[in-house]
Amino acid sequence: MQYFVFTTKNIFNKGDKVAIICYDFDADGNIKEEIVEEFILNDYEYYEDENLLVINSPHNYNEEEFVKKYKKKELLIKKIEEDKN
Amino acid sequence: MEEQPIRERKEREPEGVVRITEEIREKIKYLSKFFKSRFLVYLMSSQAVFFTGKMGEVHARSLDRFLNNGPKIVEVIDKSNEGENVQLAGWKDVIGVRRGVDGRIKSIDLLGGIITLESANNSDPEERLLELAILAKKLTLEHNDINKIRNFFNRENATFTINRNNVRNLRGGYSWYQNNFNVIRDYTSHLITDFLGEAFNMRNVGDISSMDYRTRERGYARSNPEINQQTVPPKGTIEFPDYIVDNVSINLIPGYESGGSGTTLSIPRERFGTQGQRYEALRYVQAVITLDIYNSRTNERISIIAYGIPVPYSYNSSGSYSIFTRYFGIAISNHQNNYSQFAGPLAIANAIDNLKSIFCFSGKKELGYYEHFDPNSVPVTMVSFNKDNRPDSQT
Repeated sequence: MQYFVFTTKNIFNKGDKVAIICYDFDADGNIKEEIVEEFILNDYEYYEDENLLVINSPHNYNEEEFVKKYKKKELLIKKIEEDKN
Repeated sequence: MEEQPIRERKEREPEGVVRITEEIREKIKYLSKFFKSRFLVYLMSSQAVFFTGKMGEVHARSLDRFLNNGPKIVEVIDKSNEGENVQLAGWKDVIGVRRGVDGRIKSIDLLGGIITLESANNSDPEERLLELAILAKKLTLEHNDINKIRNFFNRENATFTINRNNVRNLRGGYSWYQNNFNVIRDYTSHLITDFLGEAFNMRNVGDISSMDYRTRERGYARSNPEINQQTVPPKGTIEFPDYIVDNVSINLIPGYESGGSGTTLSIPRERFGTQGQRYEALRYVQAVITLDIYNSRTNERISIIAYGIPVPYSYNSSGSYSIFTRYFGIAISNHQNNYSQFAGPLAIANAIDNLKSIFCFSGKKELGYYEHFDPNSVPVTMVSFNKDNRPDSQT
């Protein structure tokens, strides 16, 4: 999978553990999070001039299923553990 | 029997006629000064075409014929006959955003007109494209009331939603556009979310249709005595968004340029649809994105419009442009080699870029981070299932 992120600052480093999170809202209007996938960030490129971060994840999902499940929902990429080295 | 008087019919205004106000005339005059010498026909509608380049008498006549015999959506406000190069030097039009009585954009009939483009004299296509890019940005900034937009988002910690069901195309007519419309729609919605969130620090509270559903569901639950009322959230638990983004439309209008003495303006409309049939190639595509934003508290509404021209990747610095072009596998080298193939996505990406400039220009701060989000996370704009989109494989 490949994730395109529009960001003016790259907060990630190689070796960080990251999660792709899908968030939605429950009946009370609170944010409800679901982890789509977790992986160690090894393959990414940040293009500073373009404010573009392209992250390659080791997993690959079926496009149809992915779209069906996460359509109309927002995705976030979150750093859950920094690289200790 | 006494003859009934024939009821005088109130003459209806022809559909789609663009009213040229004094204000628009002034704007036209101002813009006309900016561009000199050759012409760029900058014209859009459901049936009109977009044509650019040096226009001599033949082209001018064809255009005139097209406009007079085609859809009656254009009012000629200045028609000079002083030689071939100034034959249609006056503007034909300008704004054709039709609105209903409630002020909502109903359709786009015509935008632009005939602009004399300085660099059309110049054979350097890159320079021409740069000028086009400036033009698209200039039109975007001029056709939006930036002060109004700035004042519109005056709430602290505001919330918003995008009515994604209402993100649509008005007219397509271009196969790439039709085939990829779902992706374009998702991408545009995501980007608008990003821009609003970052420029005005607003929080997206989710999809409006699911919010409606939840509200209704709770309403039923409240009226059902068999349900333990303590389990039902009280009325107004879900915060209704302060702003609703609605009626997002993404339009891509293809234009072709003839290779010979003829002009695309004289060929039937249906022939425009297929690339390279009779004429050389798709030459220009123009993208226009419009959207309405409602303030649910005050019932006020603003409409925003952004123009896009297929300009090279390097002219656009924002991430939004990069994401789009990389997602569709467009590289600068590809672009130079095969302009026709990538003109569509590039035009939409440019319109998005210009849309961003409206929000940034009117925003309280530079695009940065959502303050309400965890600083360790950033929103994902697009997802690709195709690893061939890797940037390294592009160049």
